[in-house]
Amino acid sequence: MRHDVDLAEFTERFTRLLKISGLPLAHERASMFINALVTTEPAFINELYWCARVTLISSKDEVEIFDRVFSSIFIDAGREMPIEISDVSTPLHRDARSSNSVEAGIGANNPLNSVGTESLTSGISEQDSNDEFDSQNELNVPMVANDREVLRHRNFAELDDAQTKEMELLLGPAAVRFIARRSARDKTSRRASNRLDVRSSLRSASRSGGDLIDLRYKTPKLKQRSIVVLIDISGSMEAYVNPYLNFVHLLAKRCSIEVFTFATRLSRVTRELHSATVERAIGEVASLKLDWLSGTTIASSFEQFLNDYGRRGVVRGAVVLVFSDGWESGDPSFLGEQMRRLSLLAHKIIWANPRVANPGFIPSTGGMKAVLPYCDKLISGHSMAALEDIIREL
Amino acid sequence: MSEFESLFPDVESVRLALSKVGYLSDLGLATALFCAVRMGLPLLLEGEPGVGKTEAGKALSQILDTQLVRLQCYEGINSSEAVYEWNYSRQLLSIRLAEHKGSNLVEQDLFSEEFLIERPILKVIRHRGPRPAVLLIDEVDRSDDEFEAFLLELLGEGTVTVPELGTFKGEYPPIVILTSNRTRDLHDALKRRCMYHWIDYPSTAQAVEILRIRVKSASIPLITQVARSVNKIRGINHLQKLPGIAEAINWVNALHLLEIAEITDVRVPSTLGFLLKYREDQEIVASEWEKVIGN
Ligand SMILES: Nc1ncnc2c1ncn2[C@@H]1O[C@H](COP(=O)(O)OP(=O)(O)OP(=O)(O)O)[C@@H](O)[C@H]1O
Ligand SMILES: [Mg+2]
Repeated sequence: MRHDVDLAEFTERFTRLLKISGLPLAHERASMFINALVTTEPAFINELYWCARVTLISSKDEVEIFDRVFSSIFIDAGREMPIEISDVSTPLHRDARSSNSVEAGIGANNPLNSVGTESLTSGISEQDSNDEFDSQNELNVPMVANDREVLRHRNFAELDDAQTKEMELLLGPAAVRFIARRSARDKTSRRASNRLDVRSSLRSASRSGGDLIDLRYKTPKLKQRSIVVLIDISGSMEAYVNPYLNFVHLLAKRCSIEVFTFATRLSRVTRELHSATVERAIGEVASLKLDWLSGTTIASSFEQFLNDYGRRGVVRGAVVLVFSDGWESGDPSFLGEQMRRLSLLAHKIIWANPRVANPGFIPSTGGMKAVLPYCDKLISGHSMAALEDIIREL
Repeated sequence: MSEFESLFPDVESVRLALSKVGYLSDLGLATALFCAVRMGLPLLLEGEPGVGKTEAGKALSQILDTQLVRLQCYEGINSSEAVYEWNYSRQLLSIRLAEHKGSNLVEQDLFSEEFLIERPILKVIRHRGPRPAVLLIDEVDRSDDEFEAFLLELLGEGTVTVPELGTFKGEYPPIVILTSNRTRDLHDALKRRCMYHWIDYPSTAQAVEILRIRVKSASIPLITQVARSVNKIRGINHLQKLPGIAEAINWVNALHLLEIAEITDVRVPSTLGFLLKYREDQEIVASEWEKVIGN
């Protein structure tokens, strides 16, 4: 790869610049830094910041110089940033600012603090000059605007279409991280100086025996698994279909995905969901005149799916994501049989059932009972926050 | 290390796990601890007293579900207290016994495993798993130069040498966390071998969360007011010792026990002893009290 040399050199230059600026950088530190990069895989500037700071300085007194050099390279340089901040953090910024959140307030003068999702608990810790915070928030939940949190946890059935469309803004840190990673991966080949090249170059430098570093390397990442989505669009799922299509559209932008809808029969909507905008995607799906809002025979839909697509390897090794309340009008044992077949092919099966969120839910419907033994994970997926559980599984 | 790799795939997972055991960390500290675990390099934690350095080491061992071996340093600590020691009385006894029986004892017999007493460092090096132990070398700045020199082999190579027996290298090299209050500068050679993190005082919001976890029974409004005041107090000039989290916890506990619900309560200034160690500091803060509790 052509960029390799440049990027390995970049690390060199960064540490050299620190030295020139007066940091007594011991020679071991550069390799510690690289090791940390490879191990932590920073996706955001503030993650990179800590990765570098933890490994490159050895005293509090060095923080000032370090910060100055770091921001001169990674922040003041703006667009030329060697490590890319994913564009998904931008909407969150906007969100934060407009809602007068802690994120917008704390450390507003420190650019490192304003990166996307990490909020209060993460950026460079700074003596707090701003006391606007909501003490009800959990520390591990991003402390952004309250109404945002409320929306995140609200059941989709209670959201209107416009709010559903804000999904990308409402998904939390796990999603942003996921999306950031995916989009960064996508771009490696296209952009010359982004973060993945740093990493891959470091890797290949080591493979070629580069004497720059002596590290233990991570084994190469497994290829991302493809995702197969099956969405129940029968009447009982009416309130959820739109949010789920929104969500899946979001995923479709980032990963290899196959999407099907079902109620009484199965339809493939992958192509439609790859439309540029959500509206278009949903419009396209709607225009297919699928068996919207009819009864459900999950089993026969699944059978059709396995017969038509299962053998072609669509499912093999994939993460299968089913959105359905499991209300089956056919024979539960037949559904169980289809699930068994599915589970033999899939890497794992995640079942999202919005009714799980109901207090006192027990999988008493025959359908759910038949399905459960073959699911690796049953989640509710009834709200934005709940959808993040899915993302964590991908 | 592969077990840790699946247990802690990323920094966030460490932060989450820590919060589950009641230790709240920010991205910086979580990154540092993550690197210590995953890269197997020693980590030096520095910070003012009471910011949670020791607790960080303890919490780490908890989330790794592994043994914590703590070595509290002090002036004059030496290798026989920290690394290993020979069991002299037993050696003497053996010599006597041998004399009694008229048999011959060679020196080698006396300096064998049988007479070796493991101190924390040797113990942790020879730890038998199933996971590496966490070695917490607490307040290393209190020890002296010679002792630091002793640590270099451990920090650099992960080994310990007993001259009579040879070099020990464990199957499960420990995860080493050192803490320091910066009462003196540590030797370059030691710092060079460690990653580094400075733990700052927490922001008000972080302090609120910590106090909520640590003093479960206190009311949130009180906790919030305390956190806010403590942060303001740290900004007051000429204090000899700024209050850390430990002190803030004490203070909230005291206020709670006295059934004081509001920081504006007239009894509060008389409780400052729970927060500030020195009388002079208490007086300074009391004289600025309006500012401390005002908005
Ligand atoms: N981040 C935190 N989350 C939860 N509790 C904390 C945190 N930081 C500190 N504490 C609490 O504060 C107390 C004091 O912390 P600790 O003894 O670790 O401080 P220290 O930095 O080691 O202080 P010293 O320098 O005096 O040894 C702990 O017992 C713990 O209860
Ligand atoms: Mg301590």
